Amino acid sequence: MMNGLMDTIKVFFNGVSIFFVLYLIGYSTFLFLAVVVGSSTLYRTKQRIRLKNVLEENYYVPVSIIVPAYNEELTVAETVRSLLALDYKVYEIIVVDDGSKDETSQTLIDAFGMQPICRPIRRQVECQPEEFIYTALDRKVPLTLVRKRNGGKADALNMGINVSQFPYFICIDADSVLQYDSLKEIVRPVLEDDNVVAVGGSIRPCNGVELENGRVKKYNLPSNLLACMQVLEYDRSFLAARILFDKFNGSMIISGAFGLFKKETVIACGGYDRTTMGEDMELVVKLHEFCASNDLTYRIRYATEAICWTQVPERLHDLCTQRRRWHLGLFQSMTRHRAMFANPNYGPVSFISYLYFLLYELLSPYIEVFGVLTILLAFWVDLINIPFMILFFIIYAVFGSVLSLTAFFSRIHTIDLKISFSDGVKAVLLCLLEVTCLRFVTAFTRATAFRGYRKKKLQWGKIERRKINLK
Amino acid sequence: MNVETLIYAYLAICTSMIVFNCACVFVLRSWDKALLKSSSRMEAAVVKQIRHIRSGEPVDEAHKAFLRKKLVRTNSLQAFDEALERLMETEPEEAGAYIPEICPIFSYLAMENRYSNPMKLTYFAYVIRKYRIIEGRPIPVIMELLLELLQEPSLYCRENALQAIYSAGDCGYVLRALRTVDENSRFHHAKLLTDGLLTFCGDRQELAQTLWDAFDDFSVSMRVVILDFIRFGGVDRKEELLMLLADSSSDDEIRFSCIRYFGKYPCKRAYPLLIDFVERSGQRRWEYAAIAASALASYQQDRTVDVLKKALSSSNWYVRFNAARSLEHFQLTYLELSDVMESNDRYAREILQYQMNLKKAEQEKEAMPV
Repeated sequence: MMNGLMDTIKVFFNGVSIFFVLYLIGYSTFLFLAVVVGSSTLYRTKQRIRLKNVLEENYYVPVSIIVPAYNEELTVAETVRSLLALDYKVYEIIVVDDGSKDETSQTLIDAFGMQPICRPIRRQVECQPEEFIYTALDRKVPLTLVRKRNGGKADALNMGINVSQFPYFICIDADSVLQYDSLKEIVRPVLEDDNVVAVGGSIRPCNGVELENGRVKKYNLPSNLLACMQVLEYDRSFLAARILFDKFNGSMIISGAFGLFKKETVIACGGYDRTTMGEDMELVVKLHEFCASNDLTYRIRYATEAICWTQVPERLHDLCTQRRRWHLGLFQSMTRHRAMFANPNYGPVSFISYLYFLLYELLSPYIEVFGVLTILLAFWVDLINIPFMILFFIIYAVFGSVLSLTAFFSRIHTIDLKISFSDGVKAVLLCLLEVTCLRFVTAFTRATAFRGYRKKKLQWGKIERRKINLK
Repeated sequence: MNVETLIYAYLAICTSMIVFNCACVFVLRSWDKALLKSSSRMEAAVVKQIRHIRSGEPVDEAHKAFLRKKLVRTNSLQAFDEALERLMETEPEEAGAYIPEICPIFSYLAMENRYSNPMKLTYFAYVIRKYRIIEGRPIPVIMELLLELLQEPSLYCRENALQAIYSAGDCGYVLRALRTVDENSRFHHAKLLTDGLLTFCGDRQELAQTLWDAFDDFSVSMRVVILDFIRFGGVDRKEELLMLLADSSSDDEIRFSCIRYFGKYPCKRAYPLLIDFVERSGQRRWEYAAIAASALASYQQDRTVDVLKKALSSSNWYVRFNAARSLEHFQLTYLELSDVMESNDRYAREILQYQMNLKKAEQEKEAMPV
């Protein structure tokens, strides 16, 4: 009887180990490919710019910048000021106050001397009604403030689309700052290819960075360790992976912090979904589905040089809130568009990108928790090779760390940022901590993301804000 | 394959990544240092030749030979570019006089064409344009190379080549360039082409005539580019464009461009056509009525006001919006607009009121002390 049970457990462990070896091979290979492709693309881009393979003349595609804001009185005026200083000629700024409980609207009205105006709105996508509209005409570009009834971020973005005048719109977060040349850079793929319907910008943590007129004056790694680890994580997981997906039109996410969209196509597919928490990912997946099912030739691009500086959480609680939200958004987007999975009509995005997000993003926290439980069980029945397990874990940590560092240093060197020696050492030490500790914390957070889902599903995700270091 | 082999494989990958990182840092730093050193040497050599020019002597043959030997390498060309850029800032006149002297070097470089890839050729085209090497003197061997570059897949390569061709100021070469781009299946944004044509260094009227003579040979999208160039370039082609506008068999996009032209350059004979586009919008694509409503802002007459007031009740947002903007442009009094403002059509009222408020706010802004 005992022997039979032991045999069953052995068979189980055998199956589990084969699964995990395959799972980790898949993940490591993806990570390796992403970092190699990402780094080489960054170096090639540097070479391209060095040899003036750029559009030297000032070509402008008119764009509307939409800034959805909710309780952003602390940062919104600074954000708008930084937008007004951008090196671009034809654009407008639309701030949509989604029924804030603080003085977001009044702060803007006072800061920019805005005047009330009765403006008819062409409702092309659904959104809550407006309460008032203010405008400022004495600025470099038109600035509009729309205060509307609370409806969530997607609803605010839809209002922005309705109010916007130009054929392309950009969505940015109210606590983000665009680099001075970011509009030129994010528009570049549109000039290169008429079929581009969306372009994702490159999001970089601004904690520790000193910005002056949209330019980096001083680059330091954040003094806060949690923020510092996120800098490394952003480079490995987001920058490198998105460059890889871009190679085969497989991007499934354009961050809500900075993305450009063709308004006509977004309206045709119904605008932002107001019932999801991850409206940014949902829109991109919907664009894939809409364009492919209507036989439209389309491209969704990623612009590495279009840089948006954003604050990353400095408190563990804020980080967990943010990751929980991201995970729920991921779940909603993937389940709503599950018809895309392994469907040849949608091309590589349905096989490669969807599979990656399913296995290594959506299911990974559960798989990782299952792995930990299996290790505990193996301890209990004394079926674990502890030295081998430790060796395997060290190799995994070193591998992940080296890839993080490669992505990080590639970015630093290719955009001519200078970091101090102590920051270099800090990056080396913290990448190990990020792979061995932070990763498991975020995995646990994501595994428990569904707690309180019904209650929080349409709320704005808030983290503690600080004023960005602008001059 | 056992797990140990896999682990060793990943360790090897880790090691190679670390080596890659270190190599990149080393290569990038040494590149920058070498470029700085090389450009300083180039600068000294060019300064010496500038002194010769200042004292009325020609550029040394030895210097030309030196450039011929060096500039076939992109790194040296880049160092030369940096050196010349610095001199253009500090001694613009002398450096400007030096450039025509070294033009034959660039003919030689074009003939040799030893730049190994399109990225380097793009850079060569950039330098040609930047220092106006061929301005007013289209050197055939360089022009032929630039025309060849228009076949390249890289947008930057094509665009730099086009910019260099425009800088030569030769209409014939521009025509050939546009034909090449038009026949090429690769996408080249119309905005880049139109704005590029406007940088043409020769006689704009002559270019417009050359392009017009070949107008029918081009595709619709390229014809629209030419029409936009005529519009933004201030070229008078009213008669020809009127014929295109009146011809219902012309492509819609071409006619839209003609309507915009007559919005910028009013023409009595175009007026009835514009009125017709707004009045009988239901029979055509809505864009005709919307663009014509905007163009009518340049034709202030009682009839225009009546037609635009009716257009305020159009079912199309853009027609209403443009009609309101044109009416506001006429600066009519409330009394003159009372039939709209007191009508039952809320959409018409709101859009007109918005344009009037906007105008008022703009006037207040202008009246404010600086």
